[in-house]
Amino acid sequence: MLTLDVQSRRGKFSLDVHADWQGGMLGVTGPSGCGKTTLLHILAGLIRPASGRLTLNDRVLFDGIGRVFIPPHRRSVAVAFQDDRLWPTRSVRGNLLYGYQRTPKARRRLNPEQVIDWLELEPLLDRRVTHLSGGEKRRISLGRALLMSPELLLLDEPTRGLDSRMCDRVLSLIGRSIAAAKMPTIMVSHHLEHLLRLTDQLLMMKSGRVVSHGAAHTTNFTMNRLPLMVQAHDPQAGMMTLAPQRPSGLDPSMLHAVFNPELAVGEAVVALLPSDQIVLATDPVQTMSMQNRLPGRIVKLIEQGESITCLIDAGMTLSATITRQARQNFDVREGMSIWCLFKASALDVYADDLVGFDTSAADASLIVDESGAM
Amino acid sequence: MLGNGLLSPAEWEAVSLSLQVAMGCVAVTLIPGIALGWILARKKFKGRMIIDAAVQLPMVMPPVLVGYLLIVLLGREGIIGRWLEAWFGVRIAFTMWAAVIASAAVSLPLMVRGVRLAIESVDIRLEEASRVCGASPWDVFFSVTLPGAWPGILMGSLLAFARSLGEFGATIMFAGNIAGETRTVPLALFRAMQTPGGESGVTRLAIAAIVLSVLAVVASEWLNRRSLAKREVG
Repeated sequence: MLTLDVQSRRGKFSLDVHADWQGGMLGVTGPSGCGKTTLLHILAGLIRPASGRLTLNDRVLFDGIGRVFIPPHRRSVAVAFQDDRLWPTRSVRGNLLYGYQRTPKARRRLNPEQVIDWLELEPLLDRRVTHLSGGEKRRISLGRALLMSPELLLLDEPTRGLDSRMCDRVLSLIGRSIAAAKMPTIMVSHHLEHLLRLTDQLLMMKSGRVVSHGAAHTTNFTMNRLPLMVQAHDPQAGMMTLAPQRPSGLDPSMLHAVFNPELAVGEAVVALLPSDQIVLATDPVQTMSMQNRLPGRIVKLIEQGESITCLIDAGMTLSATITRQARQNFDVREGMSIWCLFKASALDVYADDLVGFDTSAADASLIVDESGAM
Repeated sequence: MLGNGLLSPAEWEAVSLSLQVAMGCVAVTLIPGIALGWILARKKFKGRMIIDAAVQLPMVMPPVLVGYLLIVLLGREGIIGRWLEAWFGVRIAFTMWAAVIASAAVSLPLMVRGVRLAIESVDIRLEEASRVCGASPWDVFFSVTLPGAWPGILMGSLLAFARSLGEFGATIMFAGNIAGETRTVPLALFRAMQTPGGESGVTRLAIAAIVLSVLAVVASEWLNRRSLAKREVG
């Protein structure tokens, strides 16, 4: 558990962050220069805040008034840096095991063979790090951090500079490793869809402040993250049917996505659905090619600048964005029954690598909007 | 010995003494050089400029003056020397140790400069990464900084070694020109010049000095290229 109330100033940039976090996985996002990396460096002890207080699992890491500052090497907070920071004087093995060797035996929860196997690093072990590709370096940096069995794992833009195939792979490896190691993790990325593949819990920053903090669908994020499973394949139709992972009000046979042979029937998946891809209708227009038609009820309308976000209870909570014009023409009101329509291809479906990792523990404290924007 | 015919026994003695003094000089300056180089490269504090200037001073002062200051400090009547002799019966001036210390005093700036540049070239972010991985500041120094700076430290040592081979002024002031004790190649050469009929000795010693210098330069160039090649790879 992390409690955070820190202020820091560097030249013209000032950071002031308050947040509580119960554990699981937290995604941090925001525009470039919003202080995401600064926040991680404060957590790791590489930047000493000007004032405030920081505690991790009831241990005070920083207290401006009590003049407490635990230096980075005594924090048990591991970082996979966005620039990797591997030591050119060491082999891949030397880099991977550096933190492991400095972790007391009693605290080690992962063994190196396991991590090397997960990250598929076996063939690289005796090489020098200087000639490796970006994806390889990223995996080593991740492995080095995991092997410390830290109380808190920080991932800074783990997909930066990777092509889409390698990015997919690295995200999947992160998900699998974290789920297996059950390590509280904070991941920074400015790709919302990368964060949402792994977690629903988001903290959004802007100009050094927390703008919103909570589950993706309750904050002003523009993407739905649906925990689902593959129910049936229909390769002939080029489709697959998805159902909720846990029993819910959503009818199991109603969700359709583009067929992907790599996702087996019964496999847990995460489907990402951009809020602006949902069309609202008063009846399930059968004369359209859209494959997904979900009945629901509008729970809440949130004004956000030019657009309006509708929170809809369709068995699962969905957020749909419409324009002011659409709201007027259509007379959208809270409490009204509505149909949500979207194409099968609007659902981006990935294997849910975090199955078994308890990310929901965070919900209670996180569904608090610090900015009051809602 | 192979070269017995080339140099006289006394001249061989000078060559061997030169090498011993130069090695002693590196041994004496290595640790303080690394410490000072690290402080100057990594630490920000008041009075840093003063340390920086004090370290560089012997490089720009006349070596004879360095030798004179060493006498004032460590000579038999010197501030520290008197005390050393009274309490421990140790005499430094006019011994081989004096030659080593004189060399060390004029070589230290070169050593510090080499170490400092080498440590500055080690990316501070790599040191941060090692802190985060659980390494204490000492651990960071020995596991990341030192291995990264090693080629530069070797360069600094070689420069100090070469400087010591050529040292004359401070040595003749503080250590004198004592055969078998402090008479290194440059001092032997000076002595031969002053001796009537010593011209052949001068020639032989000059050749010996040139050979030693060339070897030192070649070695430093080789090291330099190797570390450059490594950096390019990195």
